[in-house]
Amino acid sequence: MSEPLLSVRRLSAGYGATTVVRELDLEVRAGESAVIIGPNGHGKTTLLRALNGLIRPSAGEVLLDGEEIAGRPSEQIARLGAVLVPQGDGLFPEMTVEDNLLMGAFLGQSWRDRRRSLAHVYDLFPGVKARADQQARTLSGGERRLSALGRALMRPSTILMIDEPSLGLAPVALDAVYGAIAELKSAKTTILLVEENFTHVGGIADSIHVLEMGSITRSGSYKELSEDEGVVAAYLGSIT
Amino acid sequence: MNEGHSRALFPDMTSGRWSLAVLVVLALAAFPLVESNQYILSVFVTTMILLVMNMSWNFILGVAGVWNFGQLAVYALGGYGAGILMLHTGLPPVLDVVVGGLIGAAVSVLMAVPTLRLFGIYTSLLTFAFAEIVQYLILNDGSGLTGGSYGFPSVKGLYSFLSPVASMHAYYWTLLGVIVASTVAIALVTRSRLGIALRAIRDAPAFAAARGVSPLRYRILAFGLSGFLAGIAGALYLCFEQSIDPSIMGLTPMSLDVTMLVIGGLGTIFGPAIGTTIVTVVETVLVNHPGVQLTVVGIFLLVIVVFVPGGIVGLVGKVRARLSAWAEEGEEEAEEPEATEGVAPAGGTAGALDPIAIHDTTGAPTDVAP
Repeated sequence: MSEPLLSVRRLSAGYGATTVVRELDLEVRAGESAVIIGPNGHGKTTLLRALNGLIRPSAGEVLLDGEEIAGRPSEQIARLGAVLVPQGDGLFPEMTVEDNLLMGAFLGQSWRDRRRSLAHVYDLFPGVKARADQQARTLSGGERRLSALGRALMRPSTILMIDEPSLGLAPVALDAVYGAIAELKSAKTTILLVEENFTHVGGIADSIHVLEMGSITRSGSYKELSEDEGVVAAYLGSIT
Repeated sequence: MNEGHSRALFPDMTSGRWSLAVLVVLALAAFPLVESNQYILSVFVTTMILLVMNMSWNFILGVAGVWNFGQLAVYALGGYGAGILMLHTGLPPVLDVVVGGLIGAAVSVLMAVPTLRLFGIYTSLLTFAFAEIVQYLILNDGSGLTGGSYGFPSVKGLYSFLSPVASMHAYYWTLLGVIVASTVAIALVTRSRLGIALRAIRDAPAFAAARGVSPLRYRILAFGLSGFLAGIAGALYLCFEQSIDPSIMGLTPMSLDVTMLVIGGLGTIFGPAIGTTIVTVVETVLVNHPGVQLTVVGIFLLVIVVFVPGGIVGLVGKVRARLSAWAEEGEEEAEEPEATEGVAPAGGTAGALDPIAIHDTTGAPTDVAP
């Protein structure tokens, strides 16, 4: 089996004296779609923030494509190809949708390449194109989520990390967002996605990890975990 | 694949608006030829100097979103630097003005360094303290370098070889040229990669960093650029007034300048011009009633802050957006009666999200059209 693209070993992170992620281990291979599920407040967002340099881990090791990134500034990690779609989308509210998209291609692209990437995103999300000149703060939840995904597609990523894409979305918008993620998976993009439950992730997850109290407690395929009574009761009860 | 959404460097400028802008500039350029009152022309020139200074401040405050309250000190130091050169060296005056700009840029970058890891009120306090220290040092300078509280003696300026009337015209046209060039330059920078990065840092510094922007590097650049323009404005002030003293700094002029920016529209291209013009007109008309002068400006500010937080430029934008939304609604009602929940209609239709297909509302993942 090939070396993992992302390798997290005994990672701890939190806020001030509060440790949220505790000695967490995780591996994601190139082209894999890994999903982390877990209850609110158990460290999913904190993990992604730590992996992307938005907070400094207190301990542990994170290797991205063989390079140590734990504790490095966010902009350096971004230069290695880590792309984050944060919870709440992380769009720049006062900027137009198009400027938000261009921010996705901020690193290392010529003007022509940026225009090409922009055209690709607009082809994929015509609804986003229709809002190109609007300020991001004026978009609906679904449009914001698609714009954030579009921004993530503006440059090639080593790994795409998506934080709770279903949060606060109506079912129609949710389908559109997960449709876009399925497209990314089919293009062999390496994805690390976190969700509160795995109602929506069956079609995209190669592996699922359950994060509880800051650590990974169970891992397996969608099929394996959907046969685990504890997991089903906690995270899948609504659709079985 | 199409070529992407067309996007001009000046997206709001239609050919009609370009024509209007050219007409306004030409009319302003012709004004000294029809107005012989030197007092009125001098009011125009000092207003334009203030406008250049306000444009520089608007860039760092409104575009980059850095709460920098030390800009008047940078402006003053640009003027003092150029003045010292004019008094003690034989450099051509134009070069002195450029060096004044460079001094402004250098001072601004120096001021930026301790603020790099600060945001909001802490940046304001630190930069304001810097300005106060500069004013205090100049006021108490006994070395003779700055002239202390009296300021510089007579400085020749740019056009000492011309008659008073011709010199007034020359300053007028010089300032008009500087304003046009600065407006174009600021608009280009704001639309450039640098401008996008600065606006992203302003909106969400952490997420800007996650996109690969180095907040420290871009903040220093923003300070340097705005400092250069402020230094040029200070040097031009020195040249036109032929002197400079510490009264151009301090809380009162700073409050008036911020008022101008807020009234016009902070962070906009034309806001500084509108705000500076309105406040100057009020000040000029009520020049013999200083108490009333400040009261009227205060009332203006209050009305803008409470009712039009985006300033006059923001108000115009809102009215235009409402009118076009109203016109679009009329067209959509005639053409497309259906709307979809969840994703707000993009351009009026949920179908605009294709080729990401929306099949049902069960929550199951959907297929994606190629």
